[in-house]
Amino acid sequence: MSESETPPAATLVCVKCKQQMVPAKVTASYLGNDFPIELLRCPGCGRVHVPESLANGKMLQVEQLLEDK
Amino acid sequence: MGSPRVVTACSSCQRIFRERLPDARVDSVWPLLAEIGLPTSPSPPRTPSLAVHDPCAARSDPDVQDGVRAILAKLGIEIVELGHRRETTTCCGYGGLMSFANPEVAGKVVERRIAESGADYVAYCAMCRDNFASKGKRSLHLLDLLFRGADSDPAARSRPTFSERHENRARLRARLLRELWGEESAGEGQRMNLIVPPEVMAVLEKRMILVEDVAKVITHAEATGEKLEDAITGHLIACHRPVTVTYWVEYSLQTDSVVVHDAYSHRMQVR
Repeated sequence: MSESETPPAATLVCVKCKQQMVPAKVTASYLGNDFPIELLRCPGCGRVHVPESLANGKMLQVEQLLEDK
Repeated sequence: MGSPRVVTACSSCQRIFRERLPDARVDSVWPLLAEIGLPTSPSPPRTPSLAVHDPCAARSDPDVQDGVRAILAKLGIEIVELGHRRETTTCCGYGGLMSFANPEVAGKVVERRIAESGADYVAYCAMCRDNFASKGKRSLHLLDLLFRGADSDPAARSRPTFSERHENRARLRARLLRELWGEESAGEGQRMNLIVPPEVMAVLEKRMILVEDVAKVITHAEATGEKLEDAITGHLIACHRPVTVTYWVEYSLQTDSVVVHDAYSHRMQVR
């Protein structure tokens, strides 16, 4: 969960702020555990994009690991 | 409603009512029907004999097991008894929510059970019937034999998707409210025209995401403007966390409809 999950050719735009999403350090939290991670974030409103590959990949693995603990 | 008599078709429901509401009168519909008589428009099966599958929740209830067999006998159906039956019946693959916790093991449990007889199965638990049907086993619910439905061959019916099951429940509830209590259900008639292509529907099913959850995300995004746009595909991407799961949906707005391209979810929170 610590490496960069930013899609290489990011072309996401925040519709509300009309700004391009840029890589930023954010925190993923679950069951009292925090994981620093780099994801695309809107510089205006701070909205973060979680890509499908992360949600169904490492994020799911970590969720299941923590739930089984 | 006072203290109504509760009648259940589902043995798990009956067990829970008896455990949690010991003062309520709770009966299974099966011995009751065997006693008071069957509906007048039964729907005969395609085959003269059916193998009975007892659900795990009816293991310790011989009255229910007998009632089911009495109904089948009244319908003139030849009963095939499986090796594991009544108090030693085996799991259909749903018990302990196995199909959610460990789909692979659950799949093997279903396959083992359906291999016990070549006859069509008749179950009296909806989850059992649907689990057998999910592996292509011709299976009926006992109610299919008692009430003629829209299907000409209900044993061939596939398992409903999670969304269809949810939709069926909502529709039944609305119908009962309307026909028995003269009430309209809230939220009816306000649906968005959501187009979910079959390949996306299969993804939702695998990820256990309801179409209703997808609609909530889009409704939230369109009401608040909180959404992203992929400049290459032109698709909109939005998320919403109604309770403890964040749902993401990728979609496009058409003139009078919304096309869903993908959906996924996670439980972690990201800030």
